[in-house]
Parts: sequence; structure tokens; C-alpha cells
Amino acid sequence: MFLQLLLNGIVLGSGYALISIGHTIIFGLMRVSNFAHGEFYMLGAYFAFTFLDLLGLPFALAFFLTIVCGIILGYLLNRLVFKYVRDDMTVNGLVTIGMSIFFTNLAQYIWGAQPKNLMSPFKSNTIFLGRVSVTPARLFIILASAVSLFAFFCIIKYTKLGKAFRATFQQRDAARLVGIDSERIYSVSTILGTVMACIAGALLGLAYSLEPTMGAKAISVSWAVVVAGGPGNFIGAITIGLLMGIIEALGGGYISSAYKDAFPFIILILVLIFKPQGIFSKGGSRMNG
Amino acid sequence: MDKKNIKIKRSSLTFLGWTTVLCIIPFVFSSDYSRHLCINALIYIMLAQGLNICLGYCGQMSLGQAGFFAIGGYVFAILTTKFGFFWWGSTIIAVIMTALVGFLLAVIGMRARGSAFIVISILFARVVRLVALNWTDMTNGQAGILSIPRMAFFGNQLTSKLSIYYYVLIFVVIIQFLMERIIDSKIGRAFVAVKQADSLAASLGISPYHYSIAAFTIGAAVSAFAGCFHASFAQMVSPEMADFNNVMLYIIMMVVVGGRGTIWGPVVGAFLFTFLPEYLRFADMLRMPIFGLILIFLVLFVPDGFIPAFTKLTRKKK
Repeated sequence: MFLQLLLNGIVLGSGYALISIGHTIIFGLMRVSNFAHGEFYMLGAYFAFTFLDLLGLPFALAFFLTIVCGIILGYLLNRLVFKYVRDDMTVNGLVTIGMSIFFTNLAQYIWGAQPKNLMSPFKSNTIFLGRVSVTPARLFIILASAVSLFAFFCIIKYTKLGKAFRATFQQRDAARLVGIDSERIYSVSTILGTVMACIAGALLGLAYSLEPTMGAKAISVSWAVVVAGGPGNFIGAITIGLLMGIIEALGGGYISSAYKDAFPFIILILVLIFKPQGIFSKGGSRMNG
Repeated sequence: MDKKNIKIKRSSLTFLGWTTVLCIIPFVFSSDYSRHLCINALIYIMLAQGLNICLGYCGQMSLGQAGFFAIGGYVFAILTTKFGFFWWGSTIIAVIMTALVGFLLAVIGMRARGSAFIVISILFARVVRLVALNWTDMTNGQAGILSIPRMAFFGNQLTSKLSIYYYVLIFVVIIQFLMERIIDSKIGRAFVAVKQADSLAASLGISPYHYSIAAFTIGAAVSAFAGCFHASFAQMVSPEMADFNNVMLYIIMMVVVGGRGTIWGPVVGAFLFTFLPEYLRFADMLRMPIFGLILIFLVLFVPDGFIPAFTKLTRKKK
């Protein structure tokens, strides 16, 4: 049973890792406390639903179009909203809360409140690896998450854009001095962050059902991961995201299914008590009211 | 000393002015349903002030006030329905218990002031909601607890909306007054010092840790008080009282859009955000998305809140 739960936890955790990495980029780089990030996750799932179920497009195309939608969404968000509210965390927190209300209810209006399911292109026969059963869809989730994260790291580490991104991250003004256009970097980061969340939504939608309110749980987990891992800390976001998924699955299986949402959080509180700066970061960062 | 007298006179006048407005309101909005909303607004004033003490005056954002609202309401409900305890006794016990929980949470969590504490507060509210949903022996789970008794004034059960409104108003005014006294006192000034420059405050011997705990605990107690009133007025409690989207969101908007760090800002905010969703009802399905958009615009264009903006305007004219 342990291995089964572990696997489920990794599936869930991969999703959490993707969401959280997007969140930590936006929070770490632009100091935008994005309470609507869960809604990007939700929208990613519903974009996929539109392309896959409503329009009946082949899976690869639907997935690709979802990513494109994510890019457009991220670009618009930066251009129309984030550009004006960077750095002031209470203001941008409230604006994103408004966005969260807007998107959740808009989704309900467009797609309806009934839970939906993504038409999985994978046959639903379970594969048995030893004593663990897994569906092809879940394997795909883990694989696709890994590929996305790998692609993300390649972009950050090896492209010129990635270098510019890292420079802006470390020292905004110095980066500007050497000719890096911060506006462009902000735009790219918002897009990256949004796309990551959308991918997570589309992927997890293959295993779990879709609801307009699915962003609520996602944002809570995401915040916990970002704070525990340290704002802007990518390794932290991935590690803790995975950990959250695993703890949730194990706790839900061994201790109590009803309270399973609480386990990662209880662990997190313990972490925060003993190391408030986050498990991985060096310095502290404060949010002022 | 003359300046101080002028200041006292001005703030007393403002206080009287606002209290008069609040007294008149149920005659402006005189339908039964509107009065119902007015009472809800009053309860939300108390709830919002709970957040205001923490956020507006002490600078610590908390997203868990709904949790205290729920705990206060539930303890009150359980005491009055399951144990038949009398109204005021239940309220006092509920407030004290919730304040204790708030105190414990603050003691544990305030060592991680700032963004980490916000996450802790979010989780706290989620856990409260989970417990309310699942501890069915005590809380009845999803269905909640029903048939909670309404308020009574010296033995007479209050039935008309108007009488309930004025009953609740008494306590709202008391809380407003207490807040004004606290803010103007040494403790209040310490709160503001911690909010504006905590390292500087620490160097003066004002411990941010201890004062944040105090602010948070007071906030929890006030929110619990509101929870008791809500339980009694709505005559039911449910796990949704701790829900972020149903409750906490509104509290945040009331405090921030009304004006954090002001005494009367949350009053404006409470009435605004109790009535606004109703006025948007005509849009039916698009009501909530429009609500979200309005919030976005209000925050972008009036970031400090209405009361401070108004104060700035009137000062400029002079």
C-alpha cells in the first residue's frame, strides 16, 4: 500500500510542483502576491477541456493549444494588470483576489458548475508494476511534468533569455544597467509562470475532475510551497511541491482521508515555526500589510 | 493643551456623527430585507475590525479571521443548543476560548512574522473548516447547527429586525469606542510603531513579537464576538463560516477598500460590501465576475481605501 500511495503522491506532487514554480517566479521576481494563481491552474484545465472534449481535437494539438492560451493569458495579465501593481504586495494581493473572484465565476458562467472530466486519450487499463497499479494517464502526468520542468530549467540555464532572467532576478537595477530590458523579462516571467500553472491544470485534469472552484485548493498549496521553499527559489518549489503531494497521499491513506488536506499544512506549520525563512532560502523576506 | 482639546472635540464629533448615521440607516433602508442586510453589515463591522486591528494598526496581514468567526460561532451554538447555556454566558465563553486559540496561534506563528504568518493563518482557517465538517458528533458536519436562540433584551426576546439592529448597534458602538481608546493609548501607539518600523520599535524596547501577539489576540476575540452575534441572528452555523471565499474575502475587501488603519473605514467597507452584491443581482450569472472587476478597479484607483482618500480630499481643500 505504501508504494501505491507514494505513486499517487508523486502524481499529485508533480502537479503541485508545476503550479508552485509558476507562483514562485511571479512572486519572487515581481513581488506580486498572486492569489489568482490557482485560477490559472483551473483555466489550464478548462482550456484543455475546451479543445479536447468540446472541440474534439487530437490530444497533442489540444495540449499545444492549451499552452498557447496560457502564453496569451500570461501576456495579457502582465500587460493589463501586473505592470501597474508590482512590488506593493497588499495592493497586488487585493487585485489578484479580485481576479480570482472574476475568473472563478467567469469559468462557472462559461462552462457551468457541474464537474467535468477530460477525455483521456489513454486507454484506461491499469498497468501493474509489481504491487503498484497505475493508469497510463498518471504515468503521463509524471512524465510530462518532468519534461516541462526540464524544459524550464534548460531555458533558464542555457538560453540568452534565461541568463537575462537570472540577472534581473539577482539584481534588477544592475541588469538594467547592462542593457537588459526588464519589462520584457517581466513579461516572459509572467508568461512562464502562467503556462506552468496551465500545464499543471491540463495534466492533473487527466486524473481528477474539473470544477470552477478547483483553484482554491491549488492556491493554498501553492502559497504554502512558495513560502516554505523560499520566494523565488525554484529547487525549493519543486521539492516541497512534490513533498506536499506525497504527504497528502500518505496522510490520507494511513491516517485519515477526511482530513487529508490538513497534513501537508500541519507539516508546513512545523517547518515554519522552526525555520521561518523557508527550508532552502538564506535570507528572510517580509510581507508588510 | 489647547490642541489636544480641539483634537478630542473633533474626534468626538466624528464619532457622534457616524453613530447618528448608523442610527438613521435602518430608516433609509426600510424594507425587511434591507434591514436584514443592515444587521449583517453591523456584524461584519465587528468582524472587519478584528482584521483591522491586526492589519491596519499592527501591520500584520492575517487571512484566518474567518476561522475565529467560525470558532466563536460554533462554541456559542454548541453551548446554547447542546447544553442549554444562557446567551451571554455562552458568548463570553466563546470569546475567551477563541481568544485563547488566537493567542496560541500567535505565540507559535508570530516568530515567523510577515509572509510566513499569512500562510499559517490561511491554513488555520482551512483546518477550522475541516474540523467543522468532520467532527460530526459536535458540529453536525455539513448541515451545521440549527435553531440557535435569538437575542433577548432584559428577558424580552427580540423579534423585529429593527430591534435586533439597534441591539447589535449598541455593541458595535461600544467596540468602535474601545478601538478608539486603544489606538489612542500607549498600546495603540506601540502597534503603529511596530507596523511602520519594527526594527526601530524594537530598539526602543517595543517588542514586535509581543505586540503582534496582543493585536492578533484582540482581533481574534472581536471576530469571535461577531461570530456569536452571527450565530444568534442567522440562527445557524455551518462550516462555510470559515470559508475563504464566502467570508474572508469580504472582510479583506471591507477593511482595505474602506480604509485600513482607520476606525470608520471598515464601517463604510462593511456596508458597501454587504449591499453591493445585492445591487448586482440584476446581472444574475455575471454578478460575481462583475464584483471581481469592481474590486480590481477599486484597489487600483483607491488603494488606501475610501476613508483615507476622503480625508485627503477634505484636507486638500483647506
